[in-house]
Amino acid sequence: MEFEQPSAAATSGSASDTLRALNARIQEASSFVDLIDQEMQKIIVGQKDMVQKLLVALLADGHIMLEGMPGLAKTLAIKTLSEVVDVGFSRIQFTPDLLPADLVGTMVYSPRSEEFTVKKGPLFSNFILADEINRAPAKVQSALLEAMQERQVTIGATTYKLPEPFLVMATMNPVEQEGTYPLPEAQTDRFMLKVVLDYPRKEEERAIIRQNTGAGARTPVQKVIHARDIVAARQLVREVYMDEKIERYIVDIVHATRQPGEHRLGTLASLVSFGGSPRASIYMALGAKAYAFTKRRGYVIPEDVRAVCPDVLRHRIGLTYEAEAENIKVDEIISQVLNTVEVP
Amino acid sequence: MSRRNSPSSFAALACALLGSALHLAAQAPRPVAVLDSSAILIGQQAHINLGVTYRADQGPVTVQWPAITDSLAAHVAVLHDSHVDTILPDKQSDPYLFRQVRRLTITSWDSGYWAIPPFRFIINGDTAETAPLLLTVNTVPVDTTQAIRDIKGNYTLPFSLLAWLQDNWRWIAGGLAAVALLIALFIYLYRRSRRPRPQPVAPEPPKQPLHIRTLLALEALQQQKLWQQGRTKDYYSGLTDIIRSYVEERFRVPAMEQTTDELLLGLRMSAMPRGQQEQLAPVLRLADMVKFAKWNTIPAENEQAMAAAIKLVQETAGNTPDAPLA
Repeated sequence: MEFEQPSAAATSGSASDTLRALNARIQEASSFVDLIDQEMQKIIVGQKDMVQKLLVALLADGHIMLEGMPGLAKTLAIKTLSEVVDVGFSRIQFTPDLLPADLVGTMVYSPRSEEFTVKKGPLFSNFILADEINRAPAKVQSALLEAMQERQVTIGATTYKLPEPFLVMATMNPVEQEGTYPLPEAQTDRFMLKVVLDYPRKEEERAIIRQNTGAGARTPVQKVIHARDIVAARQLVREVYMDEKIERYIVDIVHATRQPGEHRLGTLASLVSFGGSPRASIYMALGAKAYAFTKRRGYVIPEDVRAVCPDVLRHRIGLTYEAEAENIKVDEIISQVLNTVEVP
Repeated sequence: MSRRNSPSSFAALACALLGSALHLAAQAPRPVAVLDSSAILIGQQAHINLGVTYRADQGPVTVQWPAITDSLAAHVAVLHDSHVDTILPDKQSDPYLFRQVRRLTITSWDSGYWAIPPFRFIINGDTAETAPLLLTVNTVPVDTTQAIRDIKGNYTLPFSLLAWLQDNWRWIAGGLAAVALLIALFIYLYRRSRRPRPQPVAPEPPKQPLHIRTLLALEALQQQKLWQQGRTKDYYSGLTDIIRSYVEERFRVPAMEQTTDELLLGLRMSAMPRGQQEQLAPVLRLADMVKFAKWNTIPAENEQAMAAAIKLVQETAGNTPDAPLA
């Protein structure tokens, strides 16, 4: 007996009209994803996961934290993305002597007009690259994270809304830890995703060499989407259908990080000091929807959840001293959880 | 039988000492040893009175007594030694006359004639000895005409309960413990006899082969007629659960914890033939569409999915070690 691959043509008559319509809308609206990807690939060699997660964060209206060695194209990636999307871009190098006013702006007195005028800081941009965020003191971190959460900044007595879309990409350098102010768990929780970058493969690195040492000029990227289209796409992402089975799957995963013993993961109980917060569940659901959108689907499947799960949970699971003593990484914990929780 | 501490012995000693005292003025003092009884029964005690009398008006007199151990001769033992005592025998008329006396209690445990050697004194550097003594030790005469009997008859004590308990408390305690043990054993046996006996557990029926169990589960799912009642999602959830469980157990792939893509990727490395993999993929993908994308299938698709699942199990069951193909 031959079983036919399900197709829209074969089942169009029986598919849910609403979902079919949504699927069609998303197929149409998400066409820019491929364009962005193509343009990004002109500049960024490899690092497809980072580019994918940047898009997920952008579409899910979240912020992203990157951890990786210097020279892995973190800055280049977000700068290229800002060029492709046609939005403003600011890069802030965080240093120990940075002040909150250096980020949000301040009131400047003009002797000529004898008035205070507002000088907006670099936060008033669409894409913000907060380079080495853990080098700034706590009050500067706090100012940034508050802006990330509230999407607005108060200077003097006036509150200013930040432009839409607003995406913060923060980097942390894992090597140079001296003179840093590590972010508390409550603040890292504001970031939707934490992506850990690895070195490129050999072939990719050869391509990087050719691209950066060739005689020709750097390939220019084209603006393929406007900021308002991103805002519209964000609304569409929220409409992506998520079945209750997927919701239960997400809750099971997050709950397993909190109560490993209840999910046949008793060995993790002594390794995990705290698990994912409800914000983790929210971001995992939102991330899965955005991931499905990038795959041009109007519904979420377990693959979408598993694709964003490590990046959502990585900075939301606390390890015990015992785990650190045994050099157990958070990614190993997440992997065990994913390999144990049953897929719907 | 000799007399003990008789006045005659003291008189003899006194005479001897007096005699020696009369010579004191003219010559050096001499020690005297007097045995109060020269014949004793075996084990009976006798006394030797030793004495030295001297004058001290001509200057100090040093008397060194012989060392006396626990025996005086081979068969003569010393039971008691009074040690040396110095007295003034005539304090009023002659205050310079001194006498040192010592009394030994002796006995012997062997019959015979035992000589006691002379006691050697050193008085002002000169050696002086007493006369040797002879001790006769006799055995007790036995009347062989009489029968052997106790020296004293048995004495019967009056009955005392306290004394009886002190002698027999171990037996009493042991008896009580044995009675308590018997009572406890009786109670235990009585209660056990009243307890309902557990029914013999029937042995578990032999576990059915994997493919039979899977086919039975598929048949049960079919009989529930879920998709006919509009519960298509439940139908496909049940169908994929059965297939995934089968694949997991049959091909050792963690199918229950993997997504469709991961499972299909994992099966490429497994023993499942490529044809069956291609047969499985559309069933799982259609199920995903139904479960996660509100996909409404037509009846033919549902029947095809079930048929494909049954065919998959039948075709791959032939290689299972637990059962041949049904």
